[in-house]
Amino acid sequence: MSTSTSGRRVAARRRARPGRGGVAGAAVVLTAAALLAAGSLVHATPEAAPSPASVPVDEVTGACLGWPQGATGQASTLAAPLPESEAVADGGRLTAGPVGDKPTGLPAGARGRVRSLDAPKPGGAVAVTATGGAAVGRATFSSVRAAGSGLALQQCLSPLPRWSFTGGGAALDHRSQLVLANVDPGPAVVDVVVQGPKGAAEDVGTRGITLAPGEVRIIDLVDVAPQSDELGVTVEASRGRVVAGLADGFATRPAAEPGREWIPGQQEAARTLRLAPLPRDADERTLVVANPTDREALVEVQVSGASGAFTPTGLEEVRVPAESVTTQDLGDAVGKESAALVLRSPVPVTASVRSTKGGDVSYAGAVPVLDGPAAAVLEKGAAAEVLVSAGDKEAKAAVTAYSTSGAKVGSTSLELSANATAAWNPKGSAAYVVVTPVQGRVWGGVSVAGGAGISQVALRSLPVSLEQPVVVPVVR
Amino acid sequence: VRVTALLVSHNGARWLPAVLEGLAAQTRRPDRVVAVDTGSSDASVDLLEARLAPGSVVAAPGRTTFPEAVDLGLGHVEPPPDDEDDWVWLLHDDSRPAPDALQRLLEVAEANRSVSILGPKHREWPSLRRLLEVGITMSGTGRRETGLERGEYDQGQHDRLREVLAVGSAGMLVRRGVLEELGGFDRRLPMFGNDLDLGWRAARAGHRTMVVPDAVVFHVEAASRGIRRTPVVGNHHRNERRSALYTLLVNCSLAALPFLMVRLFFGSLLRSLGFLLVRAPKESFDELAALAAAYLRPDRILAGRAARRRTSKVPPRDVRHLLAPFWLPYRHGLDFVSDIATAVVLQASDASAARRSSRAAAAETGPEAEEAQSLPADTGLLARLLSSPTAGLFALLVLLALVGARGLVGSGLLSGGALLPAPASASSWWRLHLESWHDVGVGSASPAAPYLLPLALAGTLLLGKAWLVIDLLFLFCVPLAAIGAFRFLRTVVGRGWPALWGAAAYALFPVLAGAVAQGRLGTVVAAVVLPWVANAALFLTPLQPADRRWRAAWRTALLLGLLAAFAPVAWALAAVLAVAAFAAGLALAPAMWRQPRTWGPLAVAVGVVPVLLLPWSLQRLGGSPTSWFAEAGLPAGDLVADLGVWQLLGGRPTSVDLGAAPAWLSVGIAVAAAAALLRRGTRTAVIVAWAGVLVGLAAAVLLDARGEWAGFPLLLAAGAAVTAVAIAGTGIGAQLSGRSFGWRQPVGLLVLAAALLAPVVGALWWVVTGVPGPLDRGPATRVPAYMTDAALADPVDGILVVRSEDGGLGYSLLRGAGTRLGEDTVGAGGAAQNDLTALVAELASAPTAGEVAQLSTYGVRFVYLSPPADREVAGKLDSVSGLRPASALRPGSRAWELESEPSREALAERQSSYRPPLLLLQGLALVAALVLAAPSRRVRR
Repeated sequence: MSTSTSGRRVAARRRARPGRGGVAGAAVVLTAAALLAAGSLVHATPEAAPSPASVPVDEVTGACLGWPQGATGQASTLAAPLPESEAVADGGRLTAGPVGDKPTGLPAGARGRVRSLDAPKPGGAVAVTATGGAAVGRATFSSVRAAGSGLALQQCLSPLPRWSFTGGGAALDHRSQLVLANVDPGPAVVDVVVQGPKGAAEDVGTRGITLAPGEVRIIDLVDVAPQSDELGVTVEASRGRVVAGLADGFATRPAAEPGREWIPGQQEAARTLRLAPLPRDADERTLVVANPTDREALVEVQVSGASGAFTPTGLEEVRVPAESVTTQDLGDAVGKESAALVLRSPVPVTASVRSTKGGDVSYAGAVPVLDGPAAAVLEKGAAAEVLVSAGDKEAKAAVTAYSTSGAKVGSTSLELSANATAAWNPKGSAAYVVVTPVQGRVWGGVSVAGGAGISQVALRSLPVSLEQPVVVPVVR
Repeated sequence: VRVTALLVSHNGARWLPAVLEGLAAQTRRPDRVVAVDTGSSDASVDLLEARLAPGSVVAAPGRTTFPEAVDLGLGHVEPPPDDEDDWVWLLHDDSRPAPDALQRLLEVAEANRSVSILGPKHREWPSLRRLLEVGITMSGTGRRETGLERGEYDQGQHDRLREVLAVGSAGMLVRRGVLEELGGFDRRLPMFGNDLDLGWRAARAGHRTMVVPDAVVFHVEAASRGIRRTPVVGNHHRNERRSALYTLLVNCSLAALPFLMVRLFFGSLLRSLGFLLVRAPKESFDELAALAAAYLRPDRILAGRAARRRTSKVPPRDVRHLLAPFWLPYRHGLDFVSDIATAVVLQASDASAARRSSRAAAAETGPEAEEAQSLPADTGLLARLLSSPTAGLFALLVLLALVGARGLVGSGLLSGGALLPAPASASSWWRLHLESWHDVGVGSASPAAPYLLPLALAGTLLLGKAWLVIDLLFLFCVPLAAIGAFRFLRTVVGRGWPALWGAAAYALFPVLAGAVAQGRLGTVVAAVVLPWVANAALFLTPLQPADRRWRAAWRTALLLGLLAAFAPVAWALAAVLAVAAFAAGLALAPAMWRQPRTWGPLAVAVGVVPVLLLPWSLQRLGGSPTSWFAEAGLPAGDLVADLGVWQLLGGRPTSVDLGAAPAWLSVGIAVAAAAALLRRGTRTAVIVAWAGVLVGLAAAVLLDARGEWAGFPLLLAAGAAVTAVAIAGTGIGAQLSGRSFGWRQPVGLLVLAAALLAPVVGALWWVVTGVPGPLDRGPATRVPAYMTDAALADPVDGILVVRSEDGGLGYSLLRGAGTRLGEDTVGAGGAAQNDLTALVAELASAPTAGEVAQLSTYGVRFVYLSPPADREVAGKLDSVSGLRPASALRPGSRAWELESEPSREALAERQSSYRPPLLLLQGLALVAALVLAAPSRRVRR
């Protein structure tokens, strides 16, 4: 009797305890749950994209374009002084000469010394090539000055596959000519697209223009889009590269002698444009916006003034129809203070601000943010003004003026609040200025004014180093 | 006439009484009987001494050969008087003469005085009716030719007294003088072929040999049939073959010797290969060993020929008519092939008949419906499809595959995602696998990935059409995977609905997981192969017979090697599972699992794989272990998504927008797999299946953490989960209905419904969506044809293709019509590649004429910018000397041709000294594994 009772207890205990299979099953489920949890929590850390390598510039070629006709000027080049942090190789070669001719070797000279060059002839161009240490910090400028016809400064830029100009014209009082130069050893084939207030101007003669090596070609916009007051011009190379410039003649009064200026080029249309600061002393200012897209652009205009950003009344939104050009009189929106315009648009646009003073004209085009020192050669005998604007945060830039021999003749540090623009006037003995961003994002330009007229050039970072693209071998 | 019967015996006690009776019953008794016993350990000596006259039994050592025994016996008989006609009648202890055998032989000897050797007709003992020999000769391959069909009954059809090359030594009546003149039997032929040799030598000495069909000897052929093992027999097949080679080489004419040596050498290799093909590895090895034994001792051949020269009196041509005709070996070869084909057909026919009879038996268990009676007989495919659920399922899957792949049909090659286009021919894969140096990119000496070998084999079987291999795999991977899965599940759970459901649920993995859509060749092939690996591994358990386990081990190794060739991580996971199995075995049955015979097959199944994957595995074993994670095909990291809980549960290595089906479609299987653990009766098997799930999940989590494609681990987990469900689902209906109603029934039904619906909704998704991924059909490359033509004509005329990549540039150096499947495995890497990368970066930023010239040293003739060509880069390349513009028809593309000639040094071949031996080792390992995996075959005479 007692035995059977004991047996039942044992059986009861056995039923209460899970079997080995049950324990193993539970362990399996728990392990699976742990793996699922781990799988949902642990993921691969995205690999940081390789950054482009930076290598010293080894060769720089720039071309100074000659005014299409009737005016000559001068040209000068220098290897700008660089901050001590920039290691600069010694030596190098400097050559210059008319495009299409064999260049002449020149002594590279000491860093900081300005060397005069033969100015380009009307309808021609001069190519300047520097290699090795002479290429680092190389900047070349030319100017056109003619009595009663204004002053036109120009930075001699390297060839590019695409150029955009805004503010040209093909009318009686406003006439522009496109100058194209091929400084490369191979042929270049370009398409020129001209946009006016009524849309793009079609012309079979502007398509597939072949420039032989060393050739300079002038295209009068009157031949492409006659009777157009405001034009945007795009040069696009389907093969090779060119140096392009839009020589603009703009009469401030009907039938007056037109003022002259090289309209600054920008490489691509963009949704955000930072225009070079405007010359403070101007009679009239006109914003010209070109929309190369097939959609209407609603452009917001913001002024970076002396103390910060503001939107002038009436300029809240500028409508630019598709594939056309619109102008907007800035009137008193800017006044006499240091100012630069920032445009924002849902579609890519190009723009410039035309300023007139007396009988001359100057253009403030889109400029890039400086990522290193920039230099500008000043016009002898004209008052110069260095204008620098800041991005969305406070910024600081060092400005130094040098004589033609490279001696420092003045300097300042421009401290800018967010979205503000500041100006500095170097001494009259200054031959060129170097602007170095110290803090934050800055961009700027230099405007000059004298008896011959007004002009301005944008500040562009000097060629110091080159970003090599990230290149990876791929399978297919 | 004096006749001495000479009986040679060795452990023949089981036949001796009958033999002695036969001797005693002779109508013409021999004048003397002498027996030579070669060390019998049974009652042979006693039997002989009891029946023969005293002093007639000669005892010899155990290793005495037949020629030595004959010599010994003759020495025991005093020489005859000169005028007496003395004959020796040779008998074996397993050969019983018919009562009138000696009389018939002597009658013919009397009638034909020129005949020196006579032989009886041999009939099989104990059947007594089948013919064994009626005279013998030899073919050019060394085969002993009897002129009889195998198992031919004696109906007097060969009863023709005729001259032959030789007669068998059992029952041979030979003049003693001739025997002594020839030096007796050749002592270098201890057991086999000595009778043939003697006859051949006698013929060359001018003696005649006749077969006397009226004289009959019944012969067991105990030594030849392997019934009796003697020290002299040794390795039967090897010694027999060695004797045949020796006989041929020492007796043939001098003029025929070189030809015969070459023929026998290659013939033996061919025979060896043939034995391998019919899964007789031992015979195959014996063939080679016999060849080596014969050919490595030329001194024996020379000595044998010298001895025969001394006794030869007639030229070889006078004997030729006694040899087998030259065409006989070829007819045997044809017969062999026909036999195999017939056997295969008969086997298939038998299997079909068995299936039908089994179905008929099943149908006869109940009354036949009236409608069924009016149906036509099951004679065709349609009827089978309609009547067989298995055939119906596979037909349905094929149909679904055709519908699902509708977007991939057309001209061009399948490519996209992780898949490169197939090469023009399977020979490209062979070259990549076999060559030490590859004209790919900057040139490479890297070993090709191991999956090229099976692809090359498959491509060769498909008449060299490499594209067809890829098309079949990607378009029909679901039905192909279903076949293996069904086979595996049928072994595990038996034929029934769970196996069918499991096959369908598993086979859909490649399409639902996005492996097909992303061109993941590794996962697709793994889905097809994995069930076969699992099926082979089922027979590794200690419950199986040892022979079967070892064969399963080699079969598993082969299949695992195939799987690991496409998904190397499979080998690592198999190793983990093997270690787990070993640990579990040690815990549960330590005594058994400590024995090598228990764990040996498991170790072989996993350990042999790296050898099968040579030479690639050697390189990878020396490198990073993580290199085993990558599957066949391109990594395509941009197509890999972070895995979440749902994706792990549903078995989705990527997200819906990258080609996978929504994970919830398959979650029912995961739930059912978890529920399977609740069923007690099948819990142990289900837990074993769950081990696969856990290992797969762990590997998937690991790969996910590295941002790599986790296709195979999730395939393993899904397959194991399906297996767990199928195991627990066997008889689940009866299980649920047999219990009293409670919560288990509705919950069980819900789980069952979720599991059953998973493959159904998955198939619906497949049909509706098709293949929603980067996999597409199109041209292999969009580079201008004139460039690829030039590169195909001369690989040095390479094409540098540059295209915009995320924030940078990507480039490839083509040596033909685009990079093809397999070339990626030997391509990038090394210092040369890094130098070229730096050069391309310089060309893209600030090119100089010097850098363009440098490009030609890499074997580049063209530079091609794929659309949309980067304007900056295009402009810079336009501006540099040394490049001239070339034609590029595609909008947005640009092309240049180098003005300088590409350097021939760019692809100068660099041989790898270790590659050929490694490939040889791999080949031998594959052959060995194939042979050892096959069922062993015993060759019967």
